[in-house]
Amino acid sequence: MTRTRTPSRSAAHRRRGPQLSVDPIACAAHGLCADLLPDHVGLDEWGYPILDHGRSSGPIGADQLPHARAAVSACPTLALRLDHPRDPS
Amino acid sequence: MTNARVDADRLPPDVRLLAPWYADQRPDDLAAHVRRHGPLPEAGAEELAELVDDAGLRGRGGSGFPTAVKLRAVAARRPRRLGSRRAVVVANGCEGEPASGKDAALLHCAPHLVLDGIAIAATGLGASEAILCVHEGSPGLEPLRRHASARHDPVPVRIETVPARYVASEESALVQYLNGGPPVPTTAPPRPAERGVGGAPTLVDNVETLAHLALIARHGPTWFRALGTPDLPGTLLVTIGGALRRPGVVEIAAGTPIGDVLDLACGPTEPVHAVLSGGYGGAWLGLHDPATLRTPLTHEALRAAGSVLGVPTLLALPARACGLAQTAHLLRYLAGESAGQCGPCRFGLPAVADDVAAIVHGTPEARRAHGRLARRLDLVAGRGACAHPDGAARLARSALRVFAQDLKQHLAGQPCRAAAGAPVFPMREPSIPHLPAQRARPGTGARSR
Repeated sequence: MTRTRTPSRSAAHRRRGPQLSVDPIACAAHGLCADLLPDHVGLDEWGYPILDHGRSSGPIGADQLPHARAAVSACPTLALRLDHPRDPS
Repeated sequence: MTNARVDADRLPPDVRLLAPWYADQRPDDLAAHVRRHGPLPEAGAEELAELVDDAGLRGRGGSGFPTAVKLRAVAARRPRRLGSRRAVVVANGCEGEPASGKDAALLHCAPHLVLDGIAIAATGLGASEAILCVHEGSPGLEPLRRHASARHDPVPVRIETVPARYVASEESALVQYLNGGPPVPTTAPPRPAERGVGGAPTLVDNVETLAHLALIARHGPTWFRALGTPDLPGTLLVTIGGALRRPGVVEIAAGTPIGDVLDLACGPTEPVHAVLSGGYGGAWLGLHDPATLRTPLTHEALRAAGSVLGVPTLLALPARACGLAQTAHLLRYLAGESAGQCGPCRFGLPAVADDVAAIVHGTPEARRAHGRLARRLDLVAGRGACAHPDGAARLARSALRVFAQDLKQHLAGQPCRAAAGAPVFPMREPSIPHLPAQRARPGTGARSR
């Protein structure tokens, strides 16, 4: 199975960016998110996504943003969300 | 047994909510309640929030969330213009935890204290509705309806019954059920304070929390803080059970050590080797560690001891029972009580229960199951919409830690006579409310005279 990615504590990661989250009730383990965004999403043994930080992933870097958007729009149950923080610092 | 009334000043000082029971061994009707506590006070939302804030009241439904924060969150969303929705107050008396009987005991002994708390909150928030939720088939239902109909509150309390399932009484599940949906948790946000019953800002509080609120409104924060700890002021209703002489519900000052609480049950019926704190989604504490009995009942102290206060329950595990086998029973029960909405809970909990069962049976599979278990526990915790899978993972982890010696023997294939033992703790909602245990404290209780 895929291991979760351990995010580094670098300054680039601490910079606030869009956050990925999954609605665990809506999620039906289609697994497209892991295909489209392998750097941030792994799958558990039952096929459910594991994000960087458990329930929500770390900030998505600019280079990964197109992949994250693709994953969000591909989710058949609209369980994957990309939220922008309210107070970018 | 005598019917003579015991003077209030002879009651133990830490009996507040259960006073009717200790004084008279019967519930207070409205007249007796008013005689005992005086008339219903009134307070505006901000005044009430300030009182509760100063008192340091924390929710008694398990999480220990500051009640003032909830009150203010709902008050902040009260209608400021015509046509917006007025608040709703929901008193949660469902008690999904099968090991706990405290809410049923409170509703039985002091129904009007709970109804007072609902009335004070509803009036203060200018609520349009007040709902008291109890489990379907609860034997206390009819008396409760009679008590509620005897009152003349500005916002009449409606009593609703909710299916008796473990997760049905979770806050968001309760709101969804009252809105006509299934009694299962929903994704937050929105929280009930933002959008709850009928879309209105909704205050959901445990019935014990509301009963404390009714007393704080009468006697003030200083009186409330005279018992308990600075972090967890006031008294707690605790269900004590398992291998104890007099199991039941007791009221104690928060921060009372586990050993003193267990003493209220007149000691164990047989040798005991561990205590389960916090219900079936709680954690074991081993009695081989002398610190266990000295651990104060507060959220922080129990967390530091590797367990949890949760809905306060202390269950004594007889030494003849296998802790791992009992954990396997409890995990199987918790897996069956999953709402089945979130994958990691739906598939993970049965898998975790299977792994622990395989370890218990000491089959050749046991070692492989043990290896899988650590990984699977990481996969279930924190990945559901509610905390149900987290509780199951906490229980399993604590079993591996507290019963480490037994674990070693099971993995080595040594026979365990208790491996096939039946569950020692109840697996279903009890059919009658637990009645509070009689006080066994010398010179204080009604029985010692």
